[in-house]
Amino acid sequence: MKTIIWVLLVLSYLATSVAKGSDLLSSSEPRDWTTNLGSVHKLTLIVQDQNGNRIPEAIAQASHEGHAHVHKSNNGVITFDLSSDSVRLVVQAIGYNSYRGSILLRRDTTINLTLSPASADKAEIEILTLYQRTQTQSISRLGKEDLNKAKGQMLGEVLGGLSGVSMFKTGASIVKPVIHGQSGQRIIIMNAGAKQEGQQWGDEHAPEIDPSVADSLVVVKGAAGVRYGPDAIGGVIVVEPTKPKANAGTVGEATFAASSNNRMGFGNLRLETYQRIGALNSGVYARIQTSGKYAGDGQTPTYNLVNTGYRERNLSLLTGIEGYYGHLEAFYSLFQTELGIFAGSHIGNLSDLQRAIAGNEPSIQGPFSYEINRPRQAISHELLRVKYEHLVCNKIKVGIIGSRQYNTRQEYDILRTAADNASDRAQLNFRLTTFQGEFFGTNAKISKWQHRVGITALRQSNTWDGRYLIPSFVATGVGGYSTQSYKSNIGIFEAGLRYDLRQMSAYFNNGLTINEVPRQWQGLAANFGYVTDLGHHLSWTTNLGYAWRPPSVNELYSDGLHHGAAAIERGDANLTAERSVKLTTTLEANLPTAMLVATAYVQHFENYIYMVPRLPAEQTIRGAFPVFQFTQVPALFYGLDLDATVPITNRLSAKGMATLVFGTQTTSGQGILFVPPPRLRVNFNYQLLSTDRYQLYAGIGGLTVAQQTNAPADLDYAPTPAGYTVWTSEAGLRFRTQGQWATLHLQIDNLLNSQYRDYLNRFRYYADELGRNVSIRLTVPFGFQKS
Amino acid sequence: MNRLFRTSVLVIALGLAISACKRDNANPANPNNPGAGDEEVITTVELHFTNASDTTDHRHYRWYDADGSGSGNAVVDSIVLKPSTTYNVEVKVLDQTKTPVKNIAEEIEEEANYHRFHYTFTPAQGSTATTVNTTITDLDTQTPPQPLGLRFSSATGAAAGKGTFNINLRHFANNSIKTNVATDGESDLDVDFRLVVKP
Repeated sequence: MKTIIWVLLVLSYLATSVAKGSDLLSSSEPRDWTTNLGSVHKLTLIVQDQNGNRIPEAIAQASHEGHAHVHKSNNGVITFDLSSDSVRLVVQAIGYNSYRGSILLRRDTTINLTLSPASADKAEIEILTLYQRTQTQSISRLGKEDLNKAKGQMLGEVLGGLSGVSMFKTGASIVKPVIHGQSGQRIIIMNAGAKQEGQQWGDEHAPEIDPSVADSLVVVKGAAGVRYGPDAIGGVIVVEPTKPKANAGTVGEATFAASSNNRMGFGNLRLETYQRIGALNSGVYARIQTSGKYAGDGQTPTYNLVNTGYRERNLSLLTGIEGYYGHLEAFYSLFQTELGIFAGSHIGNLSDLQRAIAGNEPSIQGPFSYEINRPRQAISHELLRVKYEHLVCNKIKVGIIGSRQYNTRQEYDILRTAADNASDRAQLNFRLTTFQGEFFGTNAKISKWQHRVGITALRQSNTWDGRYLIPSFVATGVGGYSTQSYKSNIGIFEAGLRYDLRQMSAYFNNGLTINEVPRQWQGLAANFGYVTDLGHHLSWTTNLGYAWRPPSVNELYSDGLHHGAAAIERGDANLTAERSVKLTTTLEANLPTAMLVATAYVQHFENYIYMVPRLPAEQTIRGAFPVFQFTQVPALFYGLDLDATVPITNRLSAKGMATLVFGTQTTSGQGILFVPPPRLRVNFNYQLLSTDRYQLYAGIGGLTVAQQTNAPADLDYAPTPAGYTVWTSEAGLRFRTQGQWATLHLQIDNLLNSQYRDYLNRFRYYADELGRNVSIRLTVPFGFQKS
Repeated sequence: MNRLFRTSVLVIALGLAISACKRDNANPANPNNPGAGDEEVITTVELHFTNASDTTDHRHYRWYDADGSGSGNAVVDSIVLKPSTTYNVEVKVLDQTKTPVKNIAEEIEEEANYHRFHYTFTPAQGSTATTVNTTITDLDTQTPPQPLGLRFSSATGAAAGKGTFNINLRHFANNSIKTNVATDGESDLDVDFRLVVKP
């Protein structure tokens, strides 16, 4: 019942937004507040390649004062009727570099645009932002501006603002993204073309990526197993550093940020250069980026969260050389973090946990500090990726990508003796080395048919010392895939198939002998999709994906006490692969008065790997502990994402986002633990001043999260927390310096200093969420004269 | 010249990056033995009761779990005490997975200021043995000294009966202050013995 009310609320909100927009249109007020008096000019774009051939697939977006129009080409010609004189243009076509620029439109104008060929991967990502999709998965994207605003945040936090994406947190410093109710092992992060391989099976293990590295973040909300391989059952996050712009010369950007709540300081420096060599589209380039964060304890409205500070440092290097036929690129990144785990969450046994839950405030309290004590984590992640792409016979592009990752994780527990606590010895110590390789071929030029084939290989080894949690293992995998897409007058059809073989040998030492336990899994992934233009600014996309994943090492072999959760967790060595089919359908309306995207999905799991409590609680010398055992159940997830962008006036615009997701075990009908509750976010943005030199903006937004009423009560220690609403407000000034825009941005999160707890935070048993946080950020671009 | 310089910077940077790569020197096929790890395990709690008015009346009881918090079940003795008798009790805490056996009680004594034992007798339903009074007799080194609990005296009531005798060792982190409240700090030990009072 509650759900229905929620859906109605959201729909009525969206409906009123659209209605408001229509009113504006019918009243035919002059929409431009500057010079013009509502006269309409015709803008004609003729888009062609370097040989002067028109590009029929081109699409263009013209935007002015908060309105955006997207038009498709008619055999390379795109026309707009625009009532504004200052227009920003983006013109894109698959396989070509985008054109971005501004024009002054004072009379009917025709522009000839020549697009240069681009590396296929990059163009594919950029074009997704436009209304005409080129792939049938449901996608959300964060561009440079969104990423800039999020500088200083964790990767999971940055993504948490997107529809269909939630955050699974362990306090404020460990944030894991949740896509359509799936997280951890069911989500892949593609970091610069390599699948991120850390110890991501742990609930309190955040992705080891600095979002400052990325120029764009794309979230694929579907079972994308064909393109990205096993594990991409719940979704994919694509973190992509793009190469420096060919015309920019040597440029850089510095960002400084500070926030009040945890007294965090953040700095990011980026320097890049592109040097042309001879022929067109040939050059060498390089980028160096480094960032650091230093934060102390977080504060709730009424108390300090002892030992929740963190430090982080990152370094990334990108360098490459490209010519007409070949493109060689290397990327290196090093991510290091050290973070404290909230002191009040370290739990002796079940009765301690129950006492902690019963108490309103944590038992351990203290003043603010930057100090990090036990329990704490120290993590380092290193990635080296080399890519070479080559154009064969002017028709086929082949590429090879190789990468190596080295992840180390140390966890320091609270120990019984002060002497042990003082020592620098970690109780959990993991070292994970991963090599990946991919070879692919694709058509270099765009035609009605688009093909891509590839083979992939992986080798991974894990070693440990200290306390046993997961075994040493060596895993290998090989796979092959093929994707085809066909463009016709009635839409784009897409199909893909993939096969993977995975093998994992775990090694156990019982003091006398070493046992090797080999396991092997194989599986097919498939993908079918269709996107079509329904006319009337509507497009309809549907995608059916089938994906699988082998059980992860902790699901198979974990055996021991988990101090953060006060539970004994047991794996099941006989688990089989998890297989899932997901149907996603998206309706997108790109009206002059509003942009609406609605995505509905349903996902069925054959063998959903899930932790269930096994009674009775186990009596140990430390007291009683509940026992959780990994098992497999059939499960069903379904939900709805809504996005709306509504320009209310020339200066005021609204953005709304709603996320609904449900999960049940189909045999028992019982809900599934930690499924995100319904969420609704609304933001208003006001442009106070907009000149050639200054832009001033302000905004306010609210996020409402309902109580999760569908959770299985007997599987949780505490009832689900009540729903809440938090407010955010922001203001910013953009000013031009040396021909580029610098930004000063001020933001206040939890504006009213509300006291609340979030269902998806594992520390909700012990403590409130963070109180008010005022943060300030300055981004200054700088450039050097081209030589 | 400029270009050459920049290109060489690139090459050097890449070279540095590659040579900076760290590696795992351990062999996954030759893993550690989880049991032989140097992690502390508590396997055993022993209670040594000595009759205060008859020192020849000595009895001891044991709570033993061979793998500590692991999956094996514990073997627990039943405590049998005489009515209307006061016993002086000494607690021993051991890690028997180590050779030689590690005496954890010694460490608790060394860090007495961070530890506190609590003893609770709960009569079984309908049991006539209503009281087993425990008084902690040893102290830590704080000023003023606070009870520790490795030594205590236990006085039984006149009636026979049975119940549960709980031992709970509370541990206080360096940055928290030791209290005598049974729910403060964190559990290092939390075990139940069956206790019978009979003549």
